[in-house]
Amino acid sequence: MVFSSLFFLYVFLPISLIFYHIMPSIRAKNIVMTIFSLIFYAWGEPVYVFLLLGMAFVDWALAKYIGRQPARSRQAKIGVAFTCIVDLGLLGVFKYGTFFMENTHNLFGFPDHILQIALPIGISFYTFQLLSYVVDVYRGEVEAQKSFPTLLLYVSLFHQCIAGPIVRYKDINAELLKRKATRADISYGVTRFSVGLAKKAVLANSCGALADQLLVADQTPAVEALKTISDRPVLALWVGALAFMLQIYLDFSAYSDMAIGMGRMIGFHYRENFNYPYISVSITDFWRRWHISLSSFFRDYVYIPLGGNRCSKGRVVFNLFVVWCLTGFWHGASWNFMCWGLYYFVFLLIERAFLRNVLEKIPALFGHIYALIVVYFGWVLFKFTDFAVLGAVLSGMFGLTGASTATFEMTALIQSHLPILAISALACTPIVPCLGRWLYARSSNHAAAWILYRTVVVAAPVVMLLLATMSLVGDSYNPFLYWEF
Amino acid sequence: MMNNNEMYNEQNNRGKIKRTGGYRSIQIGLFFAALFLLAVVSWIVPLHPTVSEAEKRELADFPPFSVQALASGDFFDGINTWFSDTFPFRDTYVALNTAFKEMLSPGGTTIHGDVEQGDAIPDQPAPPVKEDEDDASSNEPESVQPPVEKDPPKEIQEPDMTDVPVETLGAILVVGDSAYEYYSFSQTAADAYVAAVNRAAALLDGKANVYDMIVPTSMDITLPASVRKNVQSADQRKSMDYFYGGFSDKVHPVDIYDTLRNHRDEYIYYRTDHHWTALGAYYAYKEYCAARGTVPADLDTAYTKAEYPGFLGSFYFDSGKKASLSKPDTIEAYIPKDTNRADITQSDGNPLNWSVVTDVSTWKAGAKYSAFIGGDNPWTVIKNPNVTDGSACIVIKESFGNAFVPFLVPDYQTVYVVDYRHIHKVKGDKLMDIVNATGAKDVLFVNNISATRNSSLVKAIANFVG
Repeated sequence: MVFSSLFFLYVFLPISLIFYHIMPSIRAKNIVMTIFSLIFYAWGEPVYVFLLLGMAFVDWALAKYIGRQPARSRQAKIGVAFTCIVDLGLLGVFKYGTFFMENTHNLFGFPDHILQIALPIGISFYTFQLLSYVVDVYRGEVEAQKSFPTLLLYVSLFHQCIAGPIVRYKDINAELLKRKATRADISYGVTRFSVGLAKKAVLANSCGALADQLLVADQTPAVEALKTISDRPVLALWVGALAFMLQIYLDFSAYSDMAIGMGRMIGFHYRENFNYPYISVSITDFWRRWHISLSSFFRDYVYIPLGGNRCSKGRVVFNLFVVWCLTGFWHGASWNFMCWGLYYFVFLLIERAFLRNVLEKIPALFGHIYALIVVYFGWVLFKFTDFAVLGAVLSGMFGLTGASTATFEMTALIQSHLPILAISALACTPIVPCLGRWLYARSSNHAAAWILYRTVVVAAPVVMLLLATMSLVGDSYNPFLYWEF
Repeated sequence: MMNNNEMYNEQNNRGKIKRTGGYRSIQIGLFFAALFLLAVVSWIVPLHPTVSEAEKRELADFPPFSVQALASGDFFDGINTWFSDTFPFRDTYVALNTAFKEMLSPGGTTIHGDVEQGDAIPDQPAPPVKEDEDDASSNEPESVQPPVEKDPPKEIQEPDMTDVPVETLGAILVVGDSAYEYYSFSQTAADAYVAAVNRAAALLDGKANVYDMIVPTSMDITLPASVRKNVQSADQRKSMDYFYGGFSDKVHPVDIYDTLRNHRDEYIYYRTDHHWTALGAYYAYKEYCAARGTVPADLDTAYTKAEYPGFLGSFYFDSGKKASLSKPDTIEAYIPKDTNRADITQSDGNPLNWSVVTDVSTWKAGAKYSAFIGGDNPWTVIKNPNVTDGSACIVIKESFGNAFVPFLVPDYQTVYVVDYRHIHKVKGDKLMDIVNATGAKDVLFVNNISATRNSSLVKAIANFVG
């Protein structure tokens, strides 16, 4: 199930909220949340839900064992090593198994038959949550959770289980057993959720549909995609990549908005996962603002344990290299994601070497432009898993495929989407929140501002909900082209 | 996006908001009231529609349960699909969504749907089919050109299209208040079509004359040249040259392209539907008579004109009911004075006594093209009581033929109409069997050019020819 489906919105969410609220105690509320979370997960993965349960159980037991040992002791180390083997082993098999087999098959002809292993939804997210929990127990930063149901709630909680943010156990540990949603919390949660919903249903989906039309739909086989891309006019490729850049941020951050919002509605405070990454002034800055829960995971559990900055230059470069290989690879079992990670590794190295100093001295505008250009081409690299198609896109963008600069159809398509692109771009900036703050500041001594502010606050969630519903129903509009059956 | 404000205000000014936060209760109450109201309505199963009038399709069914479907996740997926596909008041949301998107689309030209990249149209016609012992001359380029220019191009003042908005919808171009269907050429389908028609002519050689009329779409006829020149839709003139050039000399081509072009300032195509109007079909009928060497019936004296306003066709619905296409068309029909009776065999095999032209004034806006010969039925027989010479013709058509058939009524004692897509449902007869049974001397293929690029339709034609 995804948050932006009508079934989630009008069946799952209301029913889970009703059950949650009629429960008298926090224990009962937690049981309700766990049951609903498992249903949520099983809705997409009726079989792999047992993998989730199994991994949670093993890690719970191991963490309990580690918790009984002195922090960072030898026995604890063995426990952590074992946890890593189990968790990363399972992640390796389910996420990368097919990919590795394909590569060894191509290189060595082994194995003969490539097993097609389906990727369990959210495995990358919940494995990292479990790992962070066990390592934190090992480090003595949190106590091991004695109750399995409570740990299961942390891992499976439907808010973040399948698409993040990667919530740390130590951040919500206390709230698992004691939490209160104040009126301000609920109000914030409702607002955040509905904004995220509309961001996804209205903006991200429109940008995604446009990107598919201007570039090529994701499911298209490589041969066909190559043919389509080679005929695409230059303008279509540039605007298509832009639409994809907007889509990926709006989509992903909307999911985090909804997770954070639903958490707040029942008293959980999750950390922010995005901080307007497209207003970055450098690539270093970008990675402090993009998917924060992932980059901080790699920082805390890979980079710093490897020695971080506090070692020789060569070693720092190596540490960064490892982190960026992993970051790239985490995004998917395909070489282009690895390249995407290494692409950022290169820019981060350059910034460390000298560019950071240069960027600090020149006007910030240049930094913004530089960061946007790098990120833009990064998404092109990210979007196309097939290198031949990627090559065609890049050469097409620079007019090397012989396709026209623009065609009537593509120009009309782009023109009719200009407003939605503009709104989407605006939604990537903090301009609207700034306006809100300004209005709020005004409202203490301007009656009109106060009325306007309150009206917007009261009406916005309902308006967003209706807009999103309209778009979700409207997108299922699929006329039967009856002259072509 | 205004509510983004919220989170920041709340975080920065939590104390202040608490003091004056009464409106927050209203906000929360209002949101959950709306959520739960919509939720409860969506739980009422009878409110879930099962078909969509606008989309002319059945909506998703509730999935059947099986352990296998449960384990694979298909069952739950099916529930999601069913729920969103049949969401209560779906049509209202769809209309609102279209209006919302239209509000956000500047300019009038839009393109709906994916424009297909077709094959290049060869300059030379298809080689003649082997089974005819034609001499090589039929392969010469001269045969591509119509031998006599029967209808010299007419000077028509083109409308000024500057500032008329344009947009694309999955292979429909919307320009102002009119829409046009994209066309692409398919080499394999084209060759199969030419072969099927040539085979029909070879089979019926000496028994009946075979005529072939390919009906262009409005894209190349009525769309003003200033817009048309930019549109990446295959050249239908060139495509027809390929078809007509590929026919053996036993096939009598009825080339109506130039005729329709010369009447392009008249109401010969609908604005909101992909079909031609009866008037367009009448000009085609005149070309057919010219090919037969007969005198066409006069539009004013042989037929009674009827008008059924309020027609909104396929383009309107395919565009998601775009407001710019919401100005309805009018069905202008010409009822043959000889008879208005048609004996139809429906797809389920049941006979139906119907009319050649039906008064559709009270029919649904989307169904009014069925005014002509009751829409698409497998088998239709129209007998003219005023003709007793035993003459008969067979029309092999898809929906474009419907508007055309009524004009044939004065010319024959019997007009037989075959919808090649459906005929197999009611009779196993092939073309030859029907010619033998009816004694028809004329066999006319009326095919929309879009049908000639569709392999499954061409296959159905070939199957019927046998």
